[in-house]
Amino acid sequence: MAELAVIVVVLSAAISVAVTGFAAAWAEKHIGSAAVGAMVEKEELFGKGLVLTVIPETIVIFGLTVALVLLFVVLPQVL
Amino acid sequence: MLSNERMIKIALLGTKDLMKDTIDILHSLKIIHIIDFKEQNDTFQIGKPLGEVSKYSEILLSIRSILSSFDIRPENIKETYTKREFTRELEIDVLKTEKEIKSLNEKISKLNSVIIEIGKLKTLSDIEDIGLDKSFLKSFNNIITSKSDLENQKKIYNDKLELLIKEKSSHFLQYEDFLSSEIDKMEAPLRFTTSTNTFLVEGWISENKFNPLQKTIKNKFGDRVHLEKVRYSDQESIPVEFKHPSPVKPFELLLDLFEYPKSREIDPTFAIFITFPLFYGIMLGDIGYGLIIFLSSLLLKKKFKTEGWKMLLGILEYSSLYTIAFGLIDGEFFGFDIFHLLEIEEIFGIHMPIIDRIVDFMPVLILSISIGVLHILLGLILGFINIKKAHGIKEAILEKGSWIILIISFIVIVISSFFSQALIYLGGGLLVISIILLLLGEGFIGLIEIFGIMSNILSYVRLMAIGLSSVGIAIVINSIVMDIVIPKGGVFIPLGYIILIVGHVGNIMLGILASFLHALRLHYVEFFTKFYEGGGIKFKPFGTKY
Repeated sequence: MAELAVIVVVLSAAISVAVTGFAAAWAEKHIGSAAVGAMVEKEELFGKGLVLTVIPETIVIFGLTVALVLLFVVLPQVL
Repeated sequence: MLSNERMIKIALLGTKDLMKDTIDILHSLKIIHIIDFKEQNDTFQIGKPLGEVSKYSEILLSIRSILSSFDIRPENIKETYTKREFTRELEIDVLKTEKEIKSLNEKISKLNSVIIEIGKLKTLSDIEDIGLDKSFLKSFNNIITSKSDLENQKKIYNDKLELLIKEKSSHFLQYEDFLSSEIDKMEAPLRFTTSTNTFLVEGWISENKFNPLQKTIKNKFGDRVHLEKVRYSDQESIPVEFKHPSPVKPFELLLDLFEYPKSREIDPTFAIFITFPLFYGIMLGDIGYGLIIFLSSLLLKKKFKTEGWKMLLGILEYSSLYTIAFGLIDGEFFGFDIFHLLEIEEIFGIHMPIIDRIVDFMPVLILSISIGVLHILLGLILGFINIKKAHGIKEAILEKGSWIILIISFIVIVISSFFSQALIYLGGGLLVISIILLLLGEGFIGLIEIFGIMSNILSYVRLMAIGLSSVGIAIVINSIVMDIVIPKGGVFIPLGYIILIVGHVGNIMLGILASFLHALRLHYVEFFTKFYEGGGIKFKPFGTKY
């Protein structure tokens, strides 16, 4: 049973990073293209565009945190 | 330090014949931010430009096109312009130089096309054996050998052009400077209110410069130009002029990128000065990377002299010091565990490294969240002060006080779980108070916003996460090189060093950018939303070049 639990925990960690990474990339793709579009019209928007573009990176940071907690807090308890 | 230059509104009224002299004085003083007049009715109109603006503009345009096509920048020129008048000489000089450049360019491009054509002929030179006439082949060869003559000629023209540009560039920069300020002056009446015989200038000036200006005007014109303070309301868009000490100054750039503060709200530059480099340092935290950023920003400062670059490099320079400091705490040097490699166990009785953030990420995580709580608390307190100033204490307590108490209660509850159980009642009490205030202030929607503030606080986890990913990449590069590539020996050793350098350069670029953007984001999204209104305008005195 313990082995199965380990597999589940490790897989969960992998999924949480992979999926949130994909989600952040997908969101940034849309925001980034819109930001570039806005910059063409008005160049001063560079700063705001840059910041808006990195906003969804929060998603993957949460994913990474969840993965770290799974690997370093949950996993030792299962083992 | 938190307050900016106090501005007052003034009006300057005079007869039209004195308008030109007045403009000259205002232009040289560089202390008035002119409010553009907008035409509303027929009685008062905007003024007409003085002199032959169109002629000046045309010449300025020629000068600028020459300057930009030969990439002549003011920082390369040491002399300053002394002759400050428009002469026929200047005009002739510009037109003549323009013509010369044009003719030289034409000659060069013609020569170029001939050379290219001859180059094509060369491929035909192996047609000897198809039985053509000898004399024809000879003349054919003559053309091909003449190519080098043509190339020499082209070089002569190129040198001539270069010499001409070198000779004229300093003059042209001076002309450009002079003409653009002249045009600025000539077009100034477009921003004034005028009637048939008088003109009126409205503008902002910092309070302590009012008296000197009054004196100057009085000395020059006596009573014929009248200057007075005008009443204004707080709601008007008063321009903001910062007065920060020089270490804080670079951080104005971060407000410039976002929005300028309104004159009546707290200027957050000083708060950014404290927290921005701290966040940057926590995220990057590597002695080697910090040193490289520090040295390169010092070097680049010598090269880039524009205001924006200077500010950006100033921020990086200051942040890199924090990066080095946190690198010492984490014991990282280009991703290597430096204290372990040098076999240093402790310095001054302190175990080194203080935190190994790859193994002990929990303390860093807790530190990150604590910093987040404090940072947001600071933002809310600034918001409290802003609202108290604008709407009174009651509004401030309902709108920001409730959140402040909520966060304090959260802190108390967390502390109570470590120290004493009794504190939990205090925390609970504060929580109830804050929720009541929240319901009074913002209604039911306020309760939903609690989740918003929670995600704001959790967002500070990036302080740990960004750093961890940057260390991760550095460690991967190091272990690929040290454990896999170099042990193979032979050609793999130089290859290993190439991988090491390329990898770390890439990681430094990523680190600089990611740490900068995320530190910025924590300020713009998490911090500023708690108090910052923005939308103010920058103080741009008439006469400065922008």
